[in-house]
Amino acid sequence: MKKQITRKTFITTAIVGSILLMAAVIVNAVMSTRRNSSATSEAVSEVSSFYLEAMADRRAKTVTNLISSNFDHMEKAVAYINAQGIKSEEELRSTLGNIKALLSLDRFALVDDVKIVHTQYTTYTGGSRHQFLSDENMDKLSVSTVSIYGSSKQMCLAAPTPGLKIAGKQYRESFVQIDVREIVDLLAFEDEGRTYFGIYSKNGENLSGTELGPHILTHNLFEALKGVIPEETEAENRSNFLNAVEGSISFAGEDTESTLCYVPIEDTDWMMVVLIRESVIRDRIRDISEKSLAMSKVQIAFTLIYSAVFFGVLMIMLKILLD
Amino acid sequence: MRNCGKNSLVLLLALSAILFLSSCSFSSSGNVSVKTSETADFGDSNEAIKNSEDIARRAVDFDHEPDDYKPLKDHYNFYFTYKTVHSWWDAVALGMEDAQRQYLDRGITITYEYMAPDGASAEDQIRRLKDAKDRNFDVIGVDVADADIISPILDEMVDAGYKVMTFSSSDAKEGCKRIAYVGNTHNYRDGADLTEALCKKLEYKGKVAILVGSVGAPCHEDRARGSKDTIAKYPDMEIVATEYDMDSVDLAYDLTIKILNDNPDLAGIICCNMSNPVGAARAAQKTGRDIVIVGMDHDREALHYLKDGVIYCLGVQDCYSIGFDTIRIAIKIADGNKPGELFKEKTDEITTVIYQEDAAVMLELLYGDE
Repeated sequence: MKKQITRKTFITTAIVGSILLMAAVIVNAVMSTRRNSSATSEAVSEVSSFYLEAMADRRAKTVTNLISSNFDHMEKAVAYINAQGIKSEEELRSTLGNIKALLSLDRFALVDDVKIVHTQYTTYTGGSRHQFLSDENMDKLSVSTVSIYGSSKQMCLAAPTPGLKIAGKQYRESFVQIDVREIVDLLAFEDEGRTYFGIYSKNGENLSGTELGPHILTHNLFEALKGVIPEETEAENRSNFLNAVEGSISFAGEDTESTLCYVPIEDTDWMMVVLIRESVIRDRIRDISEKSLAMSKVQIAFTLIYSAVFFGVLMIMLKILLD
Repeated sequence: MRNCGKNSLVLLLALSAILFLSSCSFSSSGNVSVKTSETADFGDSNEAIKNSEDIARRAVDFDHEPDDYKPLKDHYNFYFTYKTVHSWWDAVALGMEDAQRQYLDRGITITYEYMAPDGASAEDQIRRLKDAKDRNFDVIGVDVADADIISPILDEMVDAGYKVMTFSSSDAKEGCKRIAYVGNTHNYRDGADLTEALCKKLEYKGKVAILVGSVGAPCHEDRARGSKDTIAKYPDMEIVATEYDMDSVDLAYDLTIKILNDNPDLAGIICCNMSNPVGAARAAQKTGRDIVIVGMDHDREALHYLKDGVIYCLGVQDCYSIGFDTIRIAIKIADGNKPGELFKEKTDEITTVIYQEDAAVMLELLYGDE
């Protein structure tokens, strides 16, 4: 038993179909707008973290490479000194000065077997001044931070000098000091003030002297974030710093949200921290969203026009069929 | 007709499905997890540290440059010897190195040796001075290990034509022929000031102990005298122990433990150098005893104890200025100048007493942490 399609059935189908189509278009438009907005916020955080992590990683690797190349330089410098046949303190000072100038270092020095430090201009007892001269740290490669009594913060790289003898005296260590400001110059790039970075110690102390955004500035990271992030978040991130584990923190400042990301710098007890205000990414994503929204509007308009034309064609076809 | 109707329905459903799916795929691009996101509001506590910043910046003056004096030579070579290898003298060294750099920028090369034994010793100092005499230095500078023993040696050297100065914490005996002194000229007053602060805190009653430092070291002995004279002013206060820790943190710790055990009612300890407040504070923490500790200088650990309230106050000497001015004056002495218009016979450097509220700023200023 076959049913005949009547004109009424056909028109009803067409009208119901059109209404369903319109409803679907409108519901989709509303849902898309809502989801788009929420997705933008989530994407901002995600992009912030992803972007910052990559940026922090790259900068951390730059510092690691710097350390590695300086250890290479030191090895070559010590071999050069050994081959010079130096016979006096004056000659040694002059040679140290030449090497220092050649490698653009703040300090290049040798330490003898009674922990006397020999530099280009001074000779001094250094047991209390240099961390790497403690009995447990001597005779091995070490990277430490010099931060005493208002001096500019410096990275100190020390390496043992087995077999180095000058004018009958045995030398145990060589070390270089690199001003952290020079490392900062190496890391800085043109970012139009949108991102901030800093080098931090394990306890959150700012070593680079660079401002980490308008809220943290150059203060201790965790002191500055006290009251801004929950205590458990602070404890978790403090632990990350102490254990050289990477991570990120998002927090609300006075007028904007920010995300910071940190990664440990290999061979050191430093953390590379990069911060971005989320408004920067939000602004960029807003442009993309607006373009997307405009595209959606065009798509909806096209669909509506197409549906109307389609409906009209159906009506004409129906009329022809009935005639 | 039937086929046409069916086709129309299929077409409508297909269009709806495409539109729905396209919106779903568009929205799913934002469906991602966030690593960490905690938010709260910032507070403002900057006002509270302004006064402390002023105090800290006055206590240590890093803003130095050579004066208008035109050195007669373009290269000077000095020898300095000080009491013992210790971070206090490392701070003095930083002032010296900065002066050396600044003179170098002006075309004056300064080289020097800056040496000390691992433990304070007048005998060691005599040996070093004898050695230095044979090495043609422009000026020999001495931080006097023991005024009674070293002063006559300095007199002999001056008589023999050596240019000798004293510097940092301890001058020679009054009447010594050394040419000039750069450093703390008010150790007695520093001891008295710290003790006065302690007495006030204890409301001028109770038993106290004194950790002096090195036997015969003028700065330590003078501070101890200032302390004793101050305590003597208050009838309800009593000194129950005076010990020499030889500028050693470990010895200061052991001595403090003994003093605390011997005196269960001890109310305070006066520490006359940079090492012993650290030893005393460690001992107080170890035993859990609530005592008032006052002491000298800027040891990082001591500043943390100050911040935590374990130490009540510290007298911070301006080591940077001592180092810088020592080089500045040494150049003038090397050129044959005598105290007068160009420089004073005693260049005085300041001591500033700081309290708990100033500790964080001082830590940041000197060590870069809070």
